Amino acid sequence: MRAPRFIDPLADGAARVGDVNGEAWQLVLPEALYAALMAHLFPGDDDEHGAVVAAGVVTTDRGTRLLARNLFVAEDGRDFVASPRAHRRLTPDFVNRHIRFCRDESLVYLAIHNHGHGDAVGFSSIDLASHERGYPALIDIARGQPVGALVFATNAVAGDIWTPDGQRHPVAETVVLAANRTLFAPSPAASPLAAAAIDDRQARVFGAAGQAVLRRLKVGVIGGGGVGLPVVAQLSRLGVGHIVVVDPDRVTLTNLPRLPESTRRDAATWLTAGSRPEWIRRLGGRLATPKVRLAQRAARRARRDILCEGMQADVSRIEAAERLVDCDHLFLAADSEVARTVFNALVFGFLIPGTQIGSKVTVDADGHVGEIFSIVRPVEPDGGCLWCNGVISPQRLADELLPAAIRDATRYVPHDDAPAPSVITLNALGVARATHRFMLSATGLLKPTDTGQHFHRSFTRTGRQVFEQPRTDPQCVECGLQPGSLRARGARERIPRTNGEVR
Amino acid sequence: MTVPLATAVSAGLSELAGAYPEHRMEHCPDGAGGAWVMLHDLCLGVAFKPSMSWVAFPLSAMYPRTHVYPHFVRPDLVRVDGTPLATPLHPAQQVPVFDMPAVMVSRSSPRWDPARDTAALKLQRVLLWFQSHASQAGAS
Repeated sequence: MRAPRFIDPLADGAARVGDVNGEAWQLVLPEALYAALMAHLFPGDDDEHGAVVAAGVVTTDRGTRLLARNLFVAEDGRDFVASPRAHRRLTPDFVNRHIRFCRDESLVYLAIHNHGHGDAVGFSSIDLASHERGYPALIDIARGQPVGALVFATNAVAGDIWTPDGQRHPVAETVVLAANRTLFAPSPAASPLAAAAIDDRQARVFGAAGQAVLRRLKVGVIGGGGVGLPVVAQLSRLGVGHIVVVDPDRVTLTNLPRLPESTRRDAATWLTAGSRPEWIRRLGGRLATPKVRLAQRAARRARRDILCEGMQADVSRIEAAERLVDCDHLFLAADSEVARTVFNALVFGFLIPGTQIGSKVTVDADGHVGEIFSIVRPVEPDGGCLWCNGVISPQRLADELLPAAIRDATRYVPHDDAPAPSVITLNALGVARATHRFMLSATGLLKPTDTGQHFHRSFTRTGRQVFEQPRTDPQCVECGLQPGSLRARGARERIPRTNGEVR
Repeated sequence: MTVPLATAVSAGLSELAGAYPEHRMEHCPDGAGGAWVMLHDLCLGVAFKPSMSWVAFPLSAMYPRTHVYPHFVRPDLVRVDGTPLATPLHPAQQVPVFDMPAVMVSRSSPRWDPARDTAALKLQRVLLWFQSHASQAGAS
């Protein structure tokens, strides 16, 4: 089995954009947790309130990201009391209970209080003095986990994170995973410069600020075929600054009608034609263009100043999944149960909003075409996961993971090995809907009536549109909050993985 | 490329060993993070002979997210009443990795729940099926 290939961006001196200094920390808050926290901190009394958040943590070359998992509100007068040294403080008992919870769950302890209204916030000298008095001891109790504090204003968040190596890290940015991705910082960011000339038309939709947001995003695309390649092309032309596309396959003849930008040369058709000897066809297969290379070519043709990484591997190879753990959005454009499983674990384990795009043409045994539909499933940390909604079949997943020789011999799951019907126009429907929603969310343009995580199925022969409210199982081991669940832990070791030899 | 055993697979092996402490257990990594497991001297009940058999099955790399199946038993298994083996029993199969002839037992678990279902529970259900199986009719 060949090691996965990391295909370098086509060299033209393209600058890497959107990178954060290795010391920068970011905080990610799911919308429901943020809303509950803000309701507690700002109930309308203009007073100070406290809470604790337990968070997972993940560090990559983009920086360190805190993933808010549990919220514990401190009841005024019982857990959050007047203090001779500060306006109010968390009681020792409350701190003790929750630092031990964080220690036992291997989570980061974050003490929270609020200041007033406004667009800027920072710790007072009294706040910082209390950190210096108390946090060294909390670090000891936390047994290797960072501890820290967050202070909220109505439109600003600041943080002071202590790590076991003795360093302190500010929280440069807080991201709230609402329907519109919302950013907070300790103080207002400088207004971006006017959009570049190339972006003039689209900046009239979402402004120079929106263009700047897109430039700073890292988006993963699982699958580089008939759905994934157009997704990459659209993201590139939008100006998303960093794209990672993962796909193990090479272009074949039958891909050409559905892969924009692909050519017969990419499929090495002069070698893979059926009339050729088997050994020449195998050679042709190895010389055909990897689909991720095709995606990179499409990105480069769109813009020269974005980064498009290609991983020629199945997403279940850990080297591929590792490149996705710090994405700001994930598109699932592959239809295997393995890909769905890894995608689901990344969305909920690392609090990355995702979108699954699929399509289906039903054909009966006599060859008659039935339903033709595309489906777009937003999969977001506050919504139900693919397991909760029956989108992943444990049975088919087991079948995919059986070695090929065994799978062929046993045929446990009734499965039609014929290629699934597929057409570019159907793929385009799902791609457009998914990428357009992503653009609206990233740039703050979704309206309340458009919010909410609905699975959208579009039956194209009749025009019927079906919106399905996904269900959530609080006991789910991936998206739920029961002890030990995967959610918001940033636990790389719990990403599902294989050696890449999957169906 | 060989991938070491997944943490959950190791935990599954430990659970099996704990659930069947009197039975010799072997496992063989599949190189993809999973393992094939074989437990010996398990009782299949009075409807079959021989009534004792080893049972082999896979713990895939993504266990417990995946459904645990198929299971395999000794290749010389027959019904006491002489009727041919029928679905879900499939004679003349081969146990992968262990590379042994076997009868395959294809008992699906359509409501597999990774939060509650385990390989040990699934093996128990397979054995109960054998032990309670009185006739071929309707077996599935």
